[in-house]
Amino acid sequence: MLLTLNSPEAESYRRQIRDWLNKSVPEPWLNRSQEMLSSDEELDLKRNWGYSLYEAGYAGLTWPTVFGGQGLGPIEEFIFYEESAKAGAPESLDTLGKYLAGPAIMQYGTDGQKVRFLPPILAGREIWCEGYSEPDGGSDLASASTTALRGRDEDDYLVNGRKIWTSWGHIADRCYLLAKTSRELPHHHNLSVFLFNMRQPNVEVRRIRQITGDATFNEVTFENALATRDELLGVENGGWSLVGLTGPYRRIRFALNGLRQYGQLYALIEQLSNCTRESHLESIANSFQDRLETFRWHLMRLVELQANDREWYGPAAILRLTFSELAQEVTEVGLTAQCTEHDDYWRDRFLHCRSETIAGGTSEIQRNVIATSVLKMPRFGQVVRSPTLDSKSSGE
Amino acid sequence: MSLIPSIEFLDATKEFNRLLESLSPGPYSEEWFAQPQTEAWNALREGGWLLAGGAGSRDEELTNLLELAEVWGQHLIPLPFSATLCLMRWANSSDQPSVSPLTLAVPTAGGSAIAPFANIRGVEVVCDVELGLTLSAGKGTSPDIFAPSMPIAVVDRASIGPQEWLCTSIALFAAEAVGAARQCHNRALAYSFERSAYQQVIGSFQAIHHMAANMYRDLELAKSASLWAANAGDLEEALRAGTMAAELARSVAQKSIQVHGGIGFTWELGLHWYLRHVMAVESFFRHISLEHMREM
Ligand SMILES: Cc1cc2nc3c(=O)[nH]c(=O)nc-3n(C[C@H](O)[C@H](O)[C@H](O)COP(=O)(O)OP(=O)(O)OC[C@H]3O[C@@H](n4cnc5c(N)ncnc54)[C@H](O)[C@@H]3O)c2cc1C
Repeated sequence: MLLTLNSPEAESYRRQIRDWLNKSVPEPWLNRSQEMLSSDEELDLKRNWGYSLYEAGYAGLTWPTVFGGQGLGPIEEFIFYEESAKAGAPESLDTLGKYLAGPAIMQYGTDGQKVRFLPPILAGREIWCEGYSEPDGGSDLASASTTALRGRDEDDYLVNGRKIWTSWGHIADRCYLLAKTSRELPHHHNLSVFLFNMRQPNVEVRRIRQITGDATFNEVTFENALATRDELLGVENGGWSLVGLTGPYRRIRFALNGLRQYGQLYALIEQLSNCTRESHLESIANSFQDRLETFRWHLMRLVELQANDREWYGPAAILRLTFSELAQEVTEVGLTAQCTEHDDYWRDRFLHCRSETIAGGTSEIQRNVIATSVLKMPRFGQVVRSPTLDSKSSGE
Repeated sequence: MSLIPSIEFLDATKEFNRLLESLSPGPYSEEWFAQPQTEAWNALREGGWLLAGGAGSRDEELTNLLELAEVWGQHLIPLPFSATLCLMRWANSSDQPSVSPLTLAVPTAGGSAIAPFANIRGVEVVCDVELGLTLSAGKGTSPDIFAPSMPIAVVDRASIGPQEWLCTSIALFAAEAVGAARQCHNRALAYSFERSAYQQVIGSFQAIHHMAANMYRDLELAKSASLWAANAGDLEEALRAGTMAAELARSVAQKSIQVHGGIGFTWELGLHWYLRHVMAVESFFRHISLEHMREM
């Protein structure tokens, strides 16, 4: 496992990845700005990309070898994502499986669950979605009202209720589903997570059209849908701690999200630089290049902190906020770049990026989390004692 | 180069921090800044801190030195510590006995040259690291004392030498700015636990939470930008990175003032010394003329 990004070993790993990407990224994907792909074609390409990664041994780079992964560290994963971004590789569809469900199963799952669920995730053969948000509460997840209840002496659960904004729900085989398993227990202690089977008749998926015109998220309605005992992850009513993940897998999830974000920013800012060359916006594009580079160094610092078991949570907690707001700013400038050739691109990206400050927890919620979890600031109405501030402290 | 400081070096920086606390007990005042800092310099020399970057060698990881410069930036002692650290590292001979305060001069767009601290008695302006030449000490004129912790004076000529040493010093000055920003961040947080309004500590208001989160974000990014500066491939990139770090550090400092309310806007609180220090670093970077540098 590499411990630093700046070493001959890291360089040789980078070359290996680059060579593979150069010959593997599909042509139609690279040419999609000239020859538009239909959404089905795009979906197929992404799905196939998941298979290619698996076959070449690049799926689950940081998954432990016992679970079929490569047992590598965050630095290798960083290099892989950075090179993927440079090569313009597609994003595969299985990110929720690889970075949420998979790691959670490794940590909390039974042996049977590990055998059943992990291999198809790694191979890109089962697509997962995340069933957290509900019509009456997205930020306030603990107030989930979808129920999964079982009668006394019964093994299986009946699921009733509605989830919303469920990304990829229409193609997902499985859902990492948060549901209420007790009517009596108090908030936070009444929730469980299920490795829920989406392919059953009592689950209705309605696609929801987004401001971009696409429909990648859905409303999912459950009417006496079945969740078996084998699909309960961890203990009944212990689901709240499974929402954000804990331990080493949480770390991996943070870093990998950051890497994906870097890839997206890289593409956006490169495009902006092309569109603004020799125009009055060129210096703004250059300043975005500097912010991107700062983001990259931040990410590299973060992966080295993680690879060396240092305090990493604070530096990780700012990633998404930084990424999402920067991406939005870039698209706003892109819109005014008057590059007619890429007008469609910028309109699409501008609309698309609106989701970045909402999906996966809004910017407001992220700021709340930084203030209370990283900086330990008091909540409104709480009686406080002043903490002693360590001048170097940045951790959890 | 590793991107995180070694554990041993982090321990050393704690010791360094304690030393600086004892040397600059505060609160800062104009009188304090005007005092000669001979005692502080001697303490730095005796503690071996001036050679922390290696004497004539570049063995110590620059990442570690950034940590040291960041701690230096948390205390405002008007001495060219970062510049000396850098120059000693790049100096030709390994037996530099005197270790006077050293600084370096850079050409400006106007055609003249400036050097931080060059107006202070005893500070020598190094004009060629390889030959060990220095201009007469303390001869800088027209000092800009916008930030008394980092005065910048006009000198006769700019230093020459490999561009790498200027890159190193840009990274170290950037890290100083990060240190000053960290101090502003910590003070804002501490204040938010003490100060009350509407029967609540202000640190419980969501608006303050969000400002603190932004401050923390910018502080973290500033630190990462200083790391970028330390790894820059050429002077132009080092300046881009250093400027990024300084701008982010300023953003932290200005938010800290907002958290403090009216008292933040005063000369009395003392936060302004840090903000000014960061702004001085920013303006030093702004004045460095790449064009003139290339001509040398
Ligand atoms: C593209 C996209 C994909 C998504 N994919 C999924 C998915 O796959 N699975 C899934 O479960 N969900 C998904 N979501 C849902 C997303 O997680 C929620 O939209 C998000 O958490 C916000 O919840 P909400 O929409 O209910 O808004 P609300 O919680 O109703 O928030 C409304 C507004 O109030 C603010 N607010 C709420 N609480 C606070 C507070 N305490 N302090 C300050 N401000 C507050 C919010 O910031 C927001 O501005 C997706 C959303 C989008 C846009």
